[in-house]
Amino acid sequence: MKFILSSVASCSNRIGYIKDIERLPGLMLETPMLLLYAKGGSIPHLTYEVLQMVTKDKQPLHIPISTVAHCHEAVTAFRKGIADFTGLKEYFTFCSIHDPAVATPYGFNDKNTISIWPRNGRKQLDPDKYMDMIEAFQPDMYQALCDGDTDLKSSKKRIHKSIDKSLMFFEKCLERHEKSEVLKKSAILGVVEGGYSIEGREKSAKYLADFPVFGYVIDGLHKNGPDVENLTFEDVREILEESLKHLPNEKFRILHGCWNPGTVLSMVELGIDAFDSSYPYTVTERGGALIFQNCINNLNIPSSATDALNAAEPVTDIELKPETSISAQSSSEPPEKKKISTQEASHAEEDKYVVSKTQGHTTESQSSRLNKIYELSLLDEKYAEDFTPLSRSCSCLTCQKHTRAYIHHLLQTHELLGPVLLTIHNLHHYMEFFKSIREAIKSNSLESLKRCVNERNDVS
Amino acid sequence: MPVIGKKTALRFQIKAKCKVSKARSSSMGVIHHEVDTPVFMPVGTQGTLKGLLPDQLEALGCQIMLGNTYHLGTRPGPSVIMKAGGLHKFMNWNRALLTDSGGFQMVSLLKLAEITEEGVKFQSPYNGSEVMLTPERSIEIQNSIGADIIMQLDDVVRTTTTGPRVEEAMLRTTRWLDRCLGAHQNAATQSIFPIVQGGLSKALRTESVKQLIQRDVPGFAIGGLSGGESKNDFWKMVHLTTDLLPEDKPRYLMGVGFAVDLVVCCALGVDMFDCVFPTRTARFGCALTCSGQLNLKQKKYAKDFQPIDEGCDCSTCERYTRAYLHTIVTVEPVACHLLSVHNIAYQLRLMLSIRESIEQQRFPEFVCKFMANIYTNKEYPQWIVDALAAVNIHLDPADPTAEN
Ligand SMILES: [Zn+2]
Ligand SMILES: [Zn+2]
Repeated sequence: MKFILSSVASCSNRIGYIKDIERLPGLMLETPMLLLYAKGGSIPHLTYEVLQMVTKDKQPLHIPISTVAHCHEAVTAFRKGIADFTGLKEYFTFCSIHDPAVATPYGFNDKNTISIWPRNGRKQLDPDKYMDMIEAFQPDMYQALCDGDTDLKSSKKRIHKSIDKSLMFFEKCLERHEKSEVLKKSAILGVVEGGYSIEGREKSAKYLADFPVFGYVIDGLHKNGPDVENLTFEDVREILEESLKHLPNEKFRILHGCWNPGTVLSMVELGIDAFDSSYPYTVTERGGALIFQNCINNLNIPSSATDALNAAEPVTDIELKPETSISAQSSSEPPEKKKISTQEASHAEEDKYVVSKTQGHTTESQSSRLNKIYELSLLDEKYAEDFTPLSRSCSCLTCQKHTRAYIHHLLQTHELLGPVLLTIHNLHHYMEFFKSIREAIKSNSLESLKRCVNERNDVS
Repeated sequence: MPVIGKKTALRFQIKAKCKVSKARSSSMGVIHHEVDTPVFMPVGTQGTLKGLLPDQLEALGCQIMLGNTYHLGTRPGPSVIMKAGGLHKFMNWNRALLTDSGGFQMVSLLKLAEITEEGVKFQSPYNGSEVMLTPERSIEIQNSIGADIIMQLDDVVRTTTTGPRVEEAMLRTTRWLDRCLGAHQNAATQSIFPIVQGGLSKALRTESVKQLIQRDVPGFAIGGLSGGESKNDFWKMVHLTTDLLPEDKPRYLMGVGFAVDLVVCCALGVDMFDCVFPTRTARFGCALTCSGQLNLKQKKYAKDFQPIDEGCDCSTCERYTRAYLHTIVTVEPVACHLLSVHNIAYQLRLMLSIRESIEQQRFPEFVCKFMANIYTNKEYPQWIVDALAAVNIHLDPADPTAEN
């Protein structure tokens, strides 16, 4: 397996690709890449059949060990690895330890083990148990065992324990890796720890830099789960730079967690190559649809963007307005009334109008404000009779065939199809976002993309 | 054969009749689809079927789906559905739909339902207020939903009820049919089916049919069965009713969907079936196969790397093993989707085989082989032997066609 980069400048955005994957010789994966988060071996809510309707591209999969640990015995007997076992053998698989979509309980790691939380309860892993599992699962890429139980609040002592333990784990995993026959085709990643300590990051990164690994996971910044989207880039920037600057530039770097899209872009700028899709998953689980602008110069701004901003207004304001939705107004206008050339302008105008309207509202918490800027909540009663798609500019199956009113109904009645339709849209939207990121890097226009995506971040 | 007028919302044409039993293979044309019968209709209670996309259902060969008026009338409500342009558009399903009247759901789901001549009175589970579902209101809601086939409101009694209440319900059902027909607004696009009642009484069933066939209706439902009565009573009532109903109109046996029952009732001349079972059981990890049911939760499947059914061509069996399904059933929603796909594929394939065997005049042989696959020890339940014998199909315990 090879990782090839266009530029290896330190702490800068880069375009690259993984190729010559031993198990999947024809496959080439471009970076910055989105790893599709899988739970229990399947992308949540998507069967293989439906995944094909989202994309026929063989997107790389992210399988957290904690969500498939209960399959260990069966996969061992199966002998063909986790990708084949879960019916997704054509897909590149990366195994991490924890589930990025669920907050990891903390304080359960002892001197020689860490705890994972599969569905049948806590399970303690030491490097040998972990590597037994990896040998059964035979992922194309995996991270070494680590203790990343640190966050903004961790003490110095805890951070150093995490670093030392992780380095000890790493050496044991690497030793097993190098001896293993079945893992000859797999790539191992070192894990950089150090919490929010500059010296800690330096120590961990410098130590790992000399080992023959395919790349690195930057860990120990958070304890997973939906709260990660509230961390800002400024919270992690310095620590991230410190972690990266001591690592060889030409190697692959993953950063897990459900970071919001604005933060992801800033991390791409620092040279992170891969993220997981726990963010769109988290949005789906709370009944949200992503509607942030996911590409540059998309003058045909999704109608839904305006709704998101409506949603960002305090409730009292919404009550004052009758059926506020601007999209409803514009969609009820007979099309012939619109001059072709003004269509784009009118969208832009709507956008401006709403941005200015929402200025001055600072009552909401940062997190709920962010959520409402990037997504709209289909749980909201105001969509009950909204027969427009989630996003008018979106080409996904959900937006082509179903309405907000229908999805609202499905969520109201707790029907399984609700999250299926949201997943189809959210994953599509987020994969398109990653395509835009790669295009923007190639055309040297990452700043413009950042402006588009973050535009609505200024609403406050 | 009746001449098809332009105004009929339903055309029914028998394509082939089994020369031995009462089974028939027909084509039932409704506004949205040309439905081949005998047909199984999966139940999509709230305008969706267990997480499956309309595209997937079409690919599975699903021709007609059932929606529940009680649920849809509550959420999203008739006004939203009407604004959407009907349930077809609301859920983006382009093939046929059938809705029930809502009455059965009320009587079975709501403890406080009370039936008077006016209608079914019940307490709203949402705000506790008293609500009355009259025949007129049921049709009004079903008109807004816009299904191709709609059901009259009937007076539902427990199948096992006896005495004068059964007769009262049967007679009231006819009176309510007339009110339903009077209230119906969309005769050109939607067809009302009356419901044959009469409990387990031959005389009452006969009287019910006698009254209903005097009305101008395009098809008939057989109600009040499959509710806890003995199988012996069940098949006899079906047999009696299909004997009495006109041959040139479709017959819909409500709430029946176990594979064995489908095969027997097709032999007795039934054309349409619905049942929540195949999709409900999927939720609990249960897969249907030609040799019976597999509960994939059981430990014995943990290292079973075969598909659910080697002979199944569904998208689940093409890719997923029993062992993997074992790890996700009842936990991941995806497992429910995968088993629903398989179970619906199984039901629909069974109906296709029935239709083909009728058309090729080998239905009796098909029935024998089917039963031998399910009852591998050839110890057939007596009611099946009797029901099939009543239509001249004889299950021979030593039948040589039962090799597989
Ligand atoms: Zn979409
Ligand atoms: Zn199957």
